[in-house]
Amino acid sequence: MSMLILSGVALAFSGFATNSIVMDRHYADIHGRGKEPCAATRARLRTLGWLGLALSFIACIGAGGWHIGPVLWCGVLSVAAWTLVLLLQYAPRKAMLGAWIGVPGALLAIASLMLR
Amino acid sequence: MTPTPWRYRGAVASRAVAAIGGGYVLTSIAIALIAIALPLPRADAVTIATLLSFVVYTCAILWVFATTSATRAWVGIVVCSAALGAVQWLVGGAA
Amino acid sequence: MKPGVVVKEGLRQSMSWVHTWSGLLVCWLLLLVFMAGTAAYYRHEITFWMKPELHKAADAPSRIATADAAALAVRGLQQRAPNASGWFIDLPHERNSLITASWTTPPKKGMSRAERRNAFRQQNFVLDPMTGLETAAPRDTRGGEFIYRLHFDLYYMSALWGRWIVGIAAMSMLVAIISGVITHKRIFKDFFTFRPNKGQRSWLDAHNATAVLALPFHLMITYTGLVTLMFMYMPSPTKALYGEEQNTMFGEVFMNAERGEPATKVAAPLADVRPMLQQAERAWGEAPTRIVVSHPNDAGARVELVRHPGQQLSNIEPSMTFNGATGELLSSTGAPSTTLAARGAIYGLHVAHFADPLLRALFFICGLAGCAMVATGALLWGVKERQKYAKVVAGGGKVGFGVRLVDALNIGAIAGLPVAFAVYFWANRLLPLDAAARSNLEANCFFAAWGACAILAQVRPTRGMWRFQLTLGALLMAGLPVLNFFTTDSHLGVTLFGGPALHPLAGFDLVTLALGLLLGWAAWWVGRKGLKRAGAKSSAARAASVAPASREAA
Repeated sequence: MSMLILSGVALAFSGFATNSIVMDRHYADIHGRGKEPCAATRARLRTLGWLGLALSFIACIGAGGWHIGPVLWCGVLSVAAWTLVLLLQYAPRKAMLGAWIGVPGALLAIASLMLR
Repeated sequence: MTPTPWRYRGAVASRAVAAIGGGYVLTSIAIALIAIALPLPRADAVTIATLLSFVVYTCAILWVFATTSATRAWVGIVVCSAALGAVQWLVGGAA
Repeated sequence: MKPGVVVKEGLRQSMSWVHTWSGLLVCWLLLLVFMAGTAAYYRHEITFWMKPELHKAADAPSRIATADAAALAVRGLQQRAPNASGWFIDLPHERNSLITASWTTPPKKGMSRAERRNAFRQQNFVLDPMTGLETAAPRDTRGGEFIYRLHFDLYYMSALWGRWIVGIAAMSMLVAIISGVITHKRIFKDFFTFRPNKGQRSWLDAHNATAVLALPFHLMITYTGLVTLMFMYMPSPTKALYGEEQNTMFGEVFMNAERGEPATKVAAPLADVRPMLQQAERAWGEAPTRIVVSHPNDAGARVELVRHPGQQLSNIEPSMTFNGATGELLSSTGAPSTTLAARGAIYGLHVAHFADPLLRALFFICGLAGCAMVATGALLWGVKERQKYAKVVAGGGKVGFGVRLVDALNIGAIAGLPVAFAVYFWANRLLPLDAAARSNLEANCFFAAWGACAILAQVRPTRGMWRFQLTLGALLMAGLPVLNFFTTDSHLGVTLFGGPALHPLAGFDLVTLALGLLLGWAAWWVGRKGLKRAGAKSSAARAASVAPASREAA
């Protein structure tokens, strides 16, 4: 159960991070002033980002059921978002690399759900 | 820094009274009407109506401050309260 | 400032005004409510930490059966208070093997208000399950219950006044949250934005980050807080449908009609509770957690067995009520209607009894974020207003009355309240055990400390006062584990390695240590900013004196 919550946090962080790096301000923080992502990159990363958030929701439902799961998800989202905010300010490139944590997170979630 | 004119302060105070006091009166009447109108057992109707009260009150307060003048705010609060109050009196009398 | 001709811009402007004032007028009271409420998530653990006499007994290696624990408690109560108006027994569970029993005595005519208040306060005792005997009497303290009650009853006033004042503040906060969302222009673009060291911009970013990124929590906690006392705040539907029969409404909505039955004044010995417990355990599949006896040893006695709601949000605790004299089952709570279950869930979300340790920690963190949201909002207002006086101050003048007042209130609340909480815990360890009205004394220490901080802040609302109070808070908070080491046997060296019953004690020490470090960092940061500001001023003065000279030379 705690593996599921852990994967939920990883997926939430990844989803937020993926979405944030195609936002104008944060893209410029990472790649240099004035740079903007092309439309295709923006669309692709946004989709992946929202996918990460959706998988995080599923992981939290798996961890806490349909009643407590959504409450857990809100808490997980807040903590993931605050972590990302600090990272984007003080180490924006690490935030971009950190977004990859969603991949092992997804695998952990699927494994935990299947092994129940 | 220019001092705030008393007219402005009066308008703000007027809206505050309309929002906080008038809004509470309007909310009380509205939710009592909702409770009467709901076709549910008493305990359920009372619960739903009271749960909605804070939503109604918040909307009333925000509307009073968003609308274009203090006068308009008062007119709105008083007219709505009177109308809903009349309906409640009619329905309450018939029941 | 008031809405202009264009509707959209006008709406945002008016909502900005509403947000500022609905927030500012109640923010210092809200800080108290939020800090106490956040701490109250762990009120049982705090009470346990504040009663060191019970720590050893709680760390028992095994647990006796529920039925035996109940029988022990009933026997103890029969010895101490056979004619009480009510008995309350908390049965042991995995986290704590102690048995706690308490009783209430009815108020007598002719009592003063203070005597009546003391008569109502439950007298209790704690049994060591291993010996069946009473543990060493714990010190007279209200523990975490003081903090819990503080956040909605306030203090030094009747509960009715306190609840109305807190209710008004909560309603104001609800308005502030909604108006804040409406007025936030770039809520999605600025979702992850935080730019430090940029003055007013940074305070706004911090306010936005703590507010928006936990918006579901803040909205939920404010609304559900109002719901807990909603029948008091908004009585008109009850009046419309129940008229004057308010008790009937409470019985139907809270599904505990049996509890209010009066005594018959006919003596009848209380039946054995063990068969009742067995019946309940068979029906539920798990043991009851609490026993409430109304009018023990009376023909009209009622025994109510309560159990934990289980894996659901609702705080409605299923119960079975038995005739106390005969032992027969009278009623058991049926399934609530959808509406009543929803109300239970909304109430349950506020108190979060359903939360396991991880989820409760998340609630705690979001509560701290709520405190930060209120604090940064108040500080932001001060910074913004102060800018209007920049020229005046540069010319050697003073800031306006409003700015000075807000600055002083900010220090008193943001820095002073943590000092007060820490002093409350220090008082628990240091006040003599036999002091008269000891629990009241502990509470008075809380308010004395807060009052001193608030008054000092009003006298000198300066950066230096910020540093002083933050440092004081840091030392007192971080010093709690150290104090614990010198005054009890339940310090970190023991509790980190003891049984699960002692883990909450370790948690308390570690959390206060962390909060102390946080306050210490804040004190350092305030001092650093002062040095920077002073350095900038002197280098700016130097640059100003150099520039005209170089211009003349060129």
